[in-house]
Amino acid sequence: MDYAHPEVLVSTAWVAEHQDDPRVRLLEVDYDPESAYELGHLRNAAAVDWKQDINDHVRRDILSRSQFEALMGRLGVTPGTTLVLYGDMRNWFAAFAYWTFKIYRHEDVRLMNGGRRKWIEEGRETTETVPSFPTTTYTAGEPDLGLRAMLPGVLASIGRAEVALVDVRSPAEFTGEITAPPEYANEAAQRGGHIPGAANIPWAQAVQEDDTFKSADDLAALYGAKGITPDRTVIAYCRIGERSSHTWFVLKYLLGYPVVINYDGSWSEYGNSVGTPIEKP
Amino acid sequence: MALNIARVVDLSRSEEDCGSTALQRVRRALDELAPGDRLEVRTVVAEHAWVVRAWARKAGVTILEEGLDGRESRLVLERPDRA
Repeated sequence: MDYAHPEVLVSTAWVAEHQDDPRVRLLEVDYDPESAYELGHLRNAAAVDWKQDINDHVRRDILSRSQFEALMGRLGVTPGTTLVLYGDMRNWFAAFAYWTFKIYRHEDVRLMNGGRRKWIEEGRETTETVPSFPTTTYTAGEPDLGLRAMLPGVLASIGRAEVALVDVRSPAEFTGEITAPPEYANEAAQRGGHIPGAANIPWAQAVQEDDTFKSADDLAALYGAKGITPDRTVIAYCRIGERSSHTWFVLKYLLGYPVVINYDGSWSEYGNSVGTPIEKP
Repeated sequence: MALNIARVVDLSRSEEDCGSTALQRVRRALDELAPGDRLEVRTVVAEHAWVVRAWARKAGVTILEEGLDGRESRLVLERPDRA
């Protein structure tokens, strides 16, 4: 069994061959550029700061359509550009950016399999030189909000057999032992636990030791064994929606499930909301 | 002669719960030491060792020792007057 959409995944070798391709824009999406991009990145890769560029902190929301258009324009991207995303923290934030770029309907977005970690592991070239590109005027499509779950929709899905919830956090987060690492108090929740009926499949179970994705057969077996099957609408969540973006990518593009939705409010919204039911062993 | 290590940080599974980056953990640990104290960093992830080396070079932090034991990298950093 092959991946359902193998074209969305590129290897480090493919990227190395396309670093000077004007039709391709490499984007390093980092949670903390100071710990990653600024110390060295792929030649011709532009930086995308997840916190500043992909989020609107005032609204606690993903970037707006106009913010997305401005970002693409600053990066010199046109609707026909092939975007190749990779990043720090095991590609979670690159996957989140991938998800938002698909919400705004950029056609050709790809993820570098294994991310920054694999590129460095292989001893490939890095640079501190920051590339510059002529700016563009980019017009995005109507947002595809079907890719995004909001709290009312999540609540309405509880107990419905046709909907599967997948919690991709660690077992300690799923059981409520912790709600967030101590250094991220602003991401903690009033309550620990999980959404009723959710299956716990930590995101990392989808990757091999070098952070490249497991085979389609292995992935189908992994998710199928816990009831996350293509005949159901799948809602993925974690704490702030970035690890679940990684799983969303796996289910939607590698396994080709028809309806996969990312709940980016995730536990930092759900666990703090008044009156929402939870399960806690 | 073995160096006197004030603290050890193991980064190998540091990203499982989506917390701080590997380098943020190292910098925090270094900040908590007294000037001249030594921090040992261990990791089986090549990217972590690469990042620590690159940051130390830019920040002027001395790497006193560096080695590889099987897959595990070991770096010993000295806390400067200002990390």
